[in-house]
Amino acid sequence: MGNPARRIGRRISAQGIATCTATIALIAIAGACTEPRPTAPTGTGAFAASRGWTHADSAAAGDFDRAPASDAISDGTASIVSVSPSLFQGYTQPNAIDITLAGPVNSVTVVGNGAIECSGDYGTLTGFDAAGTELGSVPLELIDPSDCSPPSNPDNVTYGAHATLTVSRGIIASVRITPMSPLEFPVFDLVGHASQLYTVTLGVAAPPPATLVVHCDPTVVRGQTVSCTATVTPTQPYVVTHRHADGAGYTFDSADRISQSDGAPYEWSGQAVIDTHVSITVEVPVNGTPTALPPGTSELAVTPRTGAEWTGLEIPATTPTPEYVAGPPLLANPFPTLGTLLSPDGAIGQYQRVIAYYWGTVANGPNTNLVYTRAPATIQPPHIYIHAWLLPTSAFYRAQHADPNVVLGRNHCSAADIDRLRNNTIAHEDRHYTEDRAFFENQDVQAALEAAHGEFDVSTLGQPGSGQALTAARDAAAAAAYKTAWDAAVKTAVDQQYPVQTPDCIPRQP
Amino acid sequence: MSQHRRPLLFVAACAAMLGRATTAQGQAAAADSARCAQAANLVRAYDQAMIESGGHAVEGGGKSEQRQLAAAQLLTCGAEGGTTAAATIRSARFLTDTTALNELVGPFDDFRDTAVVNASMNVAADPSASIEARVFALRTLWVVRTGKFWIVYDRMLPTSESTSAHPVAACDDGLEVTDAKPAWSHGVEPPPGFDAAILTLADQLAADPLQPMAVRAAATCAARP
Repeated sequence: MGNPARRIGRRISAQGIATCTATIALIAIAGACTEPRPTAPTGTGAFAASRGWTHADSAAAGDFDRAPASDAISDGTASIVSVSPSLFQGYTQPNAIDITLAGPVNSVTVVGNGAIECSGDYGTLTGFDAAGTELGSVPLELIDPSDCSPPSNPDNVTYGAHATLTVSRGIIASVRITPMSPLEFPVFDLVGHASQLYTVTLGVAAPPPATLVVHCDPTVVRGQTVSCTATVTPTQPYVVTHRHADGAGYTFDSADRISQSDGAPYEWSGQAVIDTHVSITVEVPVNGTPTALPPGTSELAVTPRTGAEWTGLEIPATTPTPEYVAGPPLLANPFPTLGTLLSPDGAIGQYQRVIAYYWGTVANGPNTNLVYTRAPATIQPPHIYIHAWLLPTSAFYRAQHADPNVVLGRNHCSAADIDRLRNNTIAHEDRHYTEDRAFFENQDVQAALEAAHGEFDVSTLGQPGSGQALTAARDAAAAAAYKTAWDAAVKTAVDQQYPVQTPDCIPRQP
Repeated sequence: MSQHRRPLLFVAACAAMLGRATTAQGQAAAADSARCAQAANLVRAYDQAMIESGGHAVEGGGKSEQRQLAAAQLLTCGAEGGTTAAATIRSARFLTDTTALNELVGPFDDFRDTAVVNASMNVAADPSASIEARVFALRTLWVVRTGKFWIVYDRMLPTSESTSAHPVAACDDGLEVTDAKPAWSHGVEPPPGFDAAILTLADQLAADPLQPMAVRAAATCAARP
């Protein structure tokens, strides 16, 4: 026995009244139409159909309007964009049906309803991707072969055929339903005309799990901009929830939330200073709940800046000529302790030299908060300062005249004592200069400074104490690069090996 | 009238001091009050003359050197030295000649004395004072706090890196100095917390966009370790 309901449909069709229901299940195109089949121009009985109709005739009869051209499925992710010429196919519309789809469709099911002969070809469902490449094809099969010739009605006619095309790769962007054959067939002593009004069901592929990929420029010259990009696939809105970077002695973490509502890649960029491991974490909405993806990581390597300007910092070869001053940078009173020529360190003589650093601080990117030298250091000519009180022209010097009769004990200073102190001081400062020059000849201070770096929290800039912190970071970077070694070789060693010999006499106050 | 009398006062003070210096016995003893008083008189007279002349050098051979010696002497004179130094710092606050300022207030930069600290803080914060005098005052505050007497005025001026948001001075960046360790001349020791007060003032000045850039840059130095 055939399905009564379906057979009713078939019989309605056979009686020349088309009842169509275009349902896109899953989905929901639901439309219905009931209209009388037009009388054929030339008929052969009850099954006389519109074989001789033109396409325009069919359109006028409404055959092409039996299904909406497009609709959206319930979750809004896939839809029928257009159907050409309509979802009806058969004797009066013998052309292939082309259906254009939108969304991540990976399965299409068509179910016909009408009347077809239970033999021959029921048509073919073929899917294509957006480029028009065929993804797969399946023949339509009878929905209910037992309905063909039940004992009660052995007419070798059934109500419909169906097919499901599922693809494992690619997105089905369009399908074509080729027509059944034959379009005309004998039914007992009559002539039957094939007709199928298809319903279309779209299957949507489960979205692939979101993944996060972080990619940093693999190699960057120090000071150049490095870019790390976080990409979420499939493209969707997301929020960057955590950025982490670490290198030798360096760690940066930020929990600032950065929304990428358009799903575009997030770029984290700034000057590169040291080799760094980068990790970024994002959240994506899963069923409306923010869900963290596994962190994406990447590595960046930093190469030194090269070139003549980044090597070979040197101290000028000319020994500085002593400059005599009675105040800054020396003390106004070099002998504050009465009765002795002993003076505070640096009060009667200093060797001074300025090395001009050009520090930069990274405010953004995976090396945020790193302090580094953004340009080669330069050296200014050194100076030797000697206190003017040691000059014969000074009042202090002129006041020094020894007691001629003292044999034992400490005598008052003489001019010769001050001359000796002056010369000893100059010799001492000259030694600082000599060792300073030797240090820079033996050490590539410029190259050491090129790689120097420290840490400073740029977010505190402008707050009280930030200047001191920044200075401390720079000083620490310079100390690690060369300054600690310089202090030992140029300051401490000279002071220990070549101390200023101070005459043990009593200076007179001028 | 005063312009004539004050040089005379200065000459008299010089003579008294020189006479004392050459005739006194036991110079190894601590500076006595008479000696300090003479030094103070000499400094006051010289400084007043110089300030009233707008910073022009006082004429007369050796006067500048004698004032220099007297100022050095004041550094050992405790409260009297501090009071005199503070008066000079305040009186010189309208001068713009850096050579004159260096001569007048420079000798007191390491004078760790309450009056000196107070006067320097007043001048540093005084918008009516000259920018140069305020920078010198900030230099004094830095030195009395840190003992880094080897920092000169020029290194407290704004560098090309300065912006309105971030004043920058070289301060002691990259300055390699041998033989120098922090040192002070001690007067009346400032009260506990004076260094914190200096830091607070320096931070305020450095951050105040209404202050001259030179003052702000110098203030960043004064706030340094």
